[in-house]
Amino acid sequence: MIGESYPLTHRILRAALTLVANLVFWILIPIAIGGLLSKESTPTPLSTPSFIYAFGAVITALQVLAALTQGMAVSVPFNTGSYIAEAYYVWAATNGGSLAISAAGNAVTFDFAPIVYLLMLPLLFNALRFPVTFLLEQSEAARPFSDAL
Amino acid sequence: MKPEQSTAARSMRAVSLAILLVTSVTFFALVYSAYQDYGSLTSVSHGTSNGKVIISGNNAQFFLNFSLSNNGLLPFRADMSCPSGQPNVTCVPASVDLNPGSNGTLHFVIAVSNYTQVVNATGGLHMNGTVSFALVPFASLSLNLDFGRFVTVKGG
Repeated sequence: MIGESYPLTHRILRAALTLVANLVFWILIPIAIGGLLSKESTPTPLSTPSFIYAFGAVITALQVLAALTQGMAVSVPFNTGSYIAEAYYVWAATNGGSLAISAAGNAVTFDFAPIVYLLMLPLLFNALRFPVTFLLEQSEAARPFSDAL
Repeated sequence: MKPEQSTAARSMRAVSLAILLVTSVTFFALVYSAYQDYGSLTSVSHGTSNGKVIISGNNAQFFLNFSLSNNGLLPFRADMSCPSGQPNVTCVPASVDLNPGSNGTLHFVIAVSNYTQVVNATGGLHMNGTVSFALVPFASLSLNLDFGRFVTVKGG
């Protein structure tokens, strides 16, 4: 939580684990999925490696910075920014929940917008949670203890 | 002294965990239902369907019946239709909604006028149509197919 002091080694170890997890989840797995989809001529940003690398790098960098600054107020915008970037990434990569595939001369359309909203909901809530919690904690901290008077 | 986590932080964390739990359970239900309904659809394609053809003069009517069962956890819908404006081909759109654990039959009728001329001119029967399946309300899959591939008339 904000205000708590975390040892440097703890923060560096957490940042290293965050780096590996984010590289796998936001870059390697989407590259594999994009490779499969591009074979079926699906127009989605996942078929564009530059999209995956760009957003993957932004999300990973923000998450790593948030891990390195854990316990500090500056980690709040890093966390919020990373979750907003993740939510947009999910939306853009899935084309808003509509994919069209041409296979064996037949056209297939897959609509799954509610699933995309379900994926984005925890990310958007977490983007809201960090600044709201920080502001509420700061306001509570500003109030004097009643037994100190 | 380690500061105690505030009520606000605890509440927000609890809500976050609740959202994650609901999302996970919903995804499990979705994946399980998709797997079960896929099994039902493949059994349809392998033979749990029947139909008949009525040829009257130069017109043919194909009556197709597909038996479906919903073994998943979510409502399942199947639709079949064909676009208007196809020369010599008309159809009655069909739809069936299946609640979890229920069975149903999709009745689809395609009418082909000037049947003999159409088959002779094109070397076969081509009837463009759309089949769609939906796990209500989360996802739907639509396929544009040539129904002529699945319909054959045996002389007798």
